[in-house]
Parts: sequence; C-alpha cells; structure tokens
Amino acid sequence: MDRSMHIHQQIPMENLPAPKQLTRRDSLKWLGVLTAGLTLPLISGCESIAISTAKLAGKWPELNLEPITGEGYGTDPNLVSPPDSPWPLTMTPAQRALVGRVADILIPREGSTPSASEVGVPDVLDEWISAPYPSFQADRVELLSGLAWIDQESQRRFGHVFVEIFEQQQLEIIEDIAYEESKSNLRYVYMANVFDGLRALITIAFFSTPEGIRDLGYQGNVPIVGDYPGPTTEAMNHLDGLLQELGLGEHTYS
Amino acid sequence: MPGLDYDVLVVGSGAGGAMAAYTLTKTGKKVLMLEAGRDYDPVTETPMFQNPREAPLRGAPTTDKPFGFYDATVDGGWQVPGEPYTTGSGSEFLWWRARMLGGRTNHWGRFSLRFSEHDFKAYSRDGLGADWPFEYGDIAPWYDKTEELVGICGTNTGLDDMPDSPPGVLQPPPKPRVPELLVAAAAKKLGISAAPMHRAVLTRPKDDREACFYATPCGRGCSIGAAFQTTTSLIPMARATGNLEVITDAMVRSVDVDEAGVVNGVTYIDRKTTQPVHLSAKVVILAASACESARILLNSRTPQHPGGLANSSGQVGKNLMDSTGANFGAEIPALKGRPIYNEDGHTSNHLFIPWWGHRAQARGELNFARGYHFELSTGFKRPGSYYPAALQGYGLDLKQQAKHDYGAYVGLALRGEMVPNEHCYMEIDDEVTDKWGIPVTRFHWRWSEQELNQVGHGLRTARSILTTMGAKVSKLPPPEEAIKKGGQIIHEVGTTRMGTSPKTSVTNHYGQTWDCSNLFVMDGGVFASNPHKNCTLTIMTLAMRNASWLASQLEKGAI
Repeated sequence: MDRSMHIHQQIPMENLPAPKQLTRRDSLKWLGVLTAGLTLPLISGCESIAISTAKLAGKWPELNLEPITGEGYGTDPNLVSPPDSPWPLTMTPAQRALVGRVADILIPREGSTPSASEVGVPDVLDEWISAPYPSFQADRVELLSGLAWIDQESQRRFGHVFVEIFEQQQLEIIEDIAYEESKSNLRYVYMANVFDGLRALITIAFFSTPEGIRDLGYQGNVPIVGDYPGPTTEAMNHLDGLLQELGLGEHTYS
Repeated sequence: MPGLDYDVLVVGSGAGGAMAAYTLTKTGKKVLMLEAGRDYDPVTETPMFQNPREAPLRGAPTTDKPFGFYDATVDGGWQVPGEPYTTGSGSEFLWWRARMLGGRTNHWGRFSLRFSEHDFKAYSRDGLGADWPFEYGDIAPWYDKTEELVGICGTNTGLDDMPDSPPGVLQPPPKPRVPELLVAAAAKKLGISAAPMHRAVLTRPKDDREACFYATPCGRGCSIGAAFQTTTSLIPMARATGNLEVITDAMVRSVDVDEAGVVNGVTYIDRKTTQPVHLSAKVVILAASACESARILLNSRTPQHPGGLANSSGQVGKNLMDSTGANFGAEIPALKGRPIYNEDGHTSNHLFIPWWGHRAQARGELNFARGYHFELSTGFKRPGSYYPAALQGYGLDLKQQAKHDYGAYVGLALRGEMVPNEHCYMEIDDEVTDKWGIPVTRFHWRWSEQELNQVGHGLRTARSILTTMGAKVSKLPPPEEAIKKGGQIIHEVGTTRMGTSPKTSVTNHYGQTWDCSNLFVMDGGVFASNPHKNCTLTIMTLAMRNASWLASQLEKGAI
C-alpha cells in the first residue's frame, strides 16, 4: 500500500473531519495512520511471508512486550485544559537517550532554531508508546523494536550501543535505513519502514512546537477581523505563473 | 418531572429536534425536549485556539476520541460506552453517535447544499428507489427561511445541481485559496466547474452570533457561534421564548400507547439514576437521528402495534442509506515551495466541485444513476495535522524537504448518492441490550454496482484533475477498496421514509406517521432518497416546515 497517500488523507471535516480536520471524517487523521503504516510495511506480494523474510534477513529483534493497559483520557476529557500527563511514561532512560539522539540526527539544531530533543520531542514519543490504546500499543512494539535494532546494529558494527559511538558511525547506520532505496535491500527493508514511522512522528512532533511552527512558517490560528483576505499578491502572482506553466492560463476560475 | 405543561414532546436536540422545538416555541407552543446526552455549552467548552501540542498525542485520534482529541463529540464516536450495536454476518457498518446537547451539530462539517428538482424526483427519472412526496418548488420557500435563520455562506452559481437562493439570503463566501484556484482551473480545462461551497458558517454577524474570524477548526465546535450548531442558536433562542424545557441525560426507550393504541407518552431511562421514567405527551416528535428514532419505534412493540410502532408498512428500519465516500489525492509538484500566507480560511474547502453529469446521465452515458461531488482538502494546514509525503533522509536536508513540500498536497473527497437496496437496513438485535437494558440495533449493509461504478468514475475523474495539475498519480485502487464503509460518511437516513402511501412509507410528507396522527419523525429518517449534498440543511428545512404545519394543526385542534 502507498503509505504516503494514507498519511495525507485529510478529510474535509464533516463528519470530519477532519477532519478535519479533515477529515473530518474517518479516523485517518494524520498520526493515527502511523499504526497502519508501521504494521504493514511496503512489501507487496504475500505479505506475511514477505514480512517474516525481511525480519529474518534484518535480524529483527522483535520485542515481546506485554501491552500497557489502563485508562485513557476517556470519552469526555476537558478539551480546554487538556491533561498534562494522561498516563505514566514508560521508556527506560536508555531508550529515551537513544530516541533523543535519533531525533537530533533527524532534526538538528539549525542556527537559533533548536533541535528536536531541545523542544521535548522524546517526551512525545514516550507518551505515544505509553498510551493505553491498542493501536498505540501496536506502534510501541514496532518503535521499541526499531530502537533495539539500532542498538543491535551499532553493537554489531562498532561494538557499542548507538549513543556511545562517534557521530560519523551513527550516520553510517542511519544512511542505510533513511532512504527509499533502503527498502530494496532485504536486510534493511523492515527497519527502513519502521524508520519512516519514527521520522514521521518526530517530524510532526517537532513542527508542532512553537519553535517548529515558526521554522515551518505557518501563519494561521490567529483571528482575523473582517473578511478573510485570501492569498497575498505574491501568492497570486506565483499562481499565475503556475497556471501559465501548466497550460491552464485560459481556464482561470472566475 | 418537568415543570412545564407542554404541548409537544421532542426527542433529540440536534438539527431536526432543535429546529422543531424552535419553530413550535416561536408560535407559542410549549415544548419539552429530551436529550440522551449531557448538557453542553460551546461557549465555555470549545477549545478554540488550543494547539495540537497542548493535547495528548498531539491530538491524534484514539478509540476515546476517534476524530482526534479536540473534536467536539462527547461520549461518543464510532462507539458509545455501554451502548453497542451489532452487524449482520458479512455486513460492515459504522454508526457515529454523540451523547450531548446539540448532538452531532456540534461537530458537523457545516456543508449546506440544497437538494434540487432532480433530487426529489430521481425515481421518476431512473426508476430506482423512491420519489419524495413533493417537488422542489414546494420546499424552496422553506429552504429560504432555513438558510436565512441558520446563516449560510455561499453564492448562487446557476449550475444545474445547485438551486439558487433568493437575493440577499446567502452570506458572502470567503475568497478561494491558491490550491483551490489551481484545482478549479484544472477542472475547468476538463469541462467541470468548481463553485463556492455553501457552509453554515457566518461571514456576517447574526442574532447573538459573531462572524467567522477564520481560525480554529469548526469540528471542535465554535464558541462565538459563527459555525452553526443548535447549542449556540436554536436551543438558546427557543429557551428565550420561555416555552422550552430541556431534560438532558434522558435516554428514550419507547414511545408508549394507550389501550386503543394511541400514542400517549414516552419512557426514558434517566442516565443519572438508571431508572425508567414515563412522561405523558399529547404529541411526540422523534428526532433522535434516523437510526435511533427507528430503533425507538421498533422497540415500542405492543399488542396494538406488534411490528413496532408506526410500522404497519414494515418499512421502519428499511431503506437505510449513507453517502458514498472515497478519498484520493496527490502532491502537486507545482505547489511546492510556494509563498506562504494564512490559508486557514473558514477551515474547510472554500471551493468544491458540484456534480456536473446530469446531462451525461440523461443521455445514458454513465453506468451509474446518481451523482456525487468532490470536497477539496488543501492548504498550509496547522502543523500537527500536516505531514509531507515520503520524507527522505535526515538532518537539514530533511527539514528543507519538509518545508519545501508544505502545502503541496491536494485531496479530493468524493461524496455521492447511493441507491437504496434491500440489503441495507437495520433491525433490533433481540440478543443484545445496552447498559440501560434497551435492545440494540443490528445493521445490514451491502454496496451495489451503482455505488461501485460511481466511485470508479470518481477515482478516474480525480486522477484526471490531479494529472492536469502536473501530479504523478499512482495506480488507482479498485472501487471496492476505495469506497468507505456504510455509515462512515455519517449521513445515515431513510429508516422511516416519507411517501404518498401508508403501504410503502412510514410518514406522510409532513413527517406525520401514517399509523399515529400525534407521532411525527423530524430527522433524516424521513428521507425518501439521499442526495449527495449532505443531509443536515434538508433535515432542518423539513423540520421547520413540518413543525410549522403541526403548530397550525394544533391551533385548529386537528391534532
């Protein structure tokens, strides 16, 4: 399945969604789709055989974890003042250190813009894998197994866990799992898919912080007095150029 | 016990129930309204500017909140705790419910398109399903009044699928945004028109409600009343007449009859005490949602009404319809790296693509009978609800790619009309009761070739639009995979359909049940067909019209 398509299923919020929220509408709003993505890697053909072959070839350290159960935030939580820590966090200090390092390789500090770990991204991942909902517990197995794979690969290549090896060595491992081409290598295909999920989660977590929003340039969520102004002149000029390039100049909406 | 000596008892506080109550109380009738859920106040309870970051899991959907943390739905979603439903073997059906004052109007998409003359007489045209027992012209004046009261932004387009409103009724729509203008141009090249979506969102102030300030998603509810929901409009306005009393946490189990079989009240379960309460009533209006109202009728079996109340036709629970749904989209390379500006707008599509195929259908060129439209999902969405496709690599290159690809995705959501079929219906599951001891609903569902052919056509059209914009589109999924499940679009209607004959319908064209003259249905259950244009505006329009008629009958002493 084409996961990128699913991640994008923002449904006009009507049912909504969300939508909304888009999607409004079925529950495939952004992060929720990670679940499907993580448990169904992009391997065609007979899925279960392909998956077990890939796991075998990649020496996948599938963790045998008892799912976390317990209360979620319930069906009528306070939406105006959301709970700070709705459930206990469960990552070990070693897992959090590893997540922090991976997050900062993905989103490093850039000038005055902080890195992922500096704005609390590891907390988001810990909250995610500790959430007492079945789909999140499925993610937990994949994500924590993925972290274990990274340490195992680090041990195999360099004799130490990931956070203890040199940065250049860390990047050597990440290089092998961070690209579309990684998925054509049977050894890396499973981890590369899990890494997609990890990257998606870390990226979303980062860009939804105040620092990340600033970095991305999102301009909304501010009240406007009067009519919605529509696109800026610059944006409209850019659109006019696109319409010409695409041969749509004479079909302009009016 | 209510303190009011009420003329009419209304079950439900959503689109139909609140409009019925508003209309009746405005004519001086005393109304008692029962709502299964808790009291709810959007003014204090709506998370208006809260960021995903402030919510657990960045606001992601969970089984507790299936449309995400901030969605307005209280104690509901695809499941209501302790209130299951079941499905027949081989059937998949999803039923979205809320347990709150105002019901699903608190989070709906606010899409408000009139049905057209085509829509009310589809059977006459293609011989499928059933006609409505009136023509567009009979309903048009009531659409005018409803649009005026609710506040709808949009424009008259003159398109054959979008009947015009009288001048001055619609409020101005917001300006279209860049990706929508690109979609509109691509569609136009293919001979397809885009148009402003009509939405129940104020762009000018009305009554105590403010105009939209173009921020914060409507699905969360709207504390300023710009996005229509009954809890900031009809219910407070009806209360202000002094003629409305509301009892919340009142889960209606049955409509009750006397020895002669005449309706004389309802029994509800008080959710706080779990005890049954009987209330007498001169007139009962069911507006609990299509499937909940049908459930109440079927659970109101008595020796006088052995097949369930108002069910001498055997049609209660039958003719269940939802909208078809399928989503398809792609990244548009041309939209990458474009100038950023505030694209929140009224947080839903400003432009959409209405059905353009009436003439092709009339010429017999299409292998499906009913139309659909596309809703557009585009824009620089709020981070946390946005993720660029296929991110690669890591580090500064990754960040660069994420920023470059931001706002380049275009999604087309098909919403279409299904043809009712004998495999789509609901009944009572005698083996399962909910936590109140009320027998639950069992759903049966099967899409027909009509819907699959329609979705296939929609997917191919979506691909043409996307490729005209320069997108590379991967293989289309087969329609049977792309089509959403029954119920998933949350437009379920038809289970107590209106008609011209007591033999084939449950109510007359006023929503008055053929079998019981003092029992009405004023929700989507009365729909004779389910046009693709979203049901809520028509539910409200019919409730206003039919409650007005009821008021006149009460004044005459005819009921």
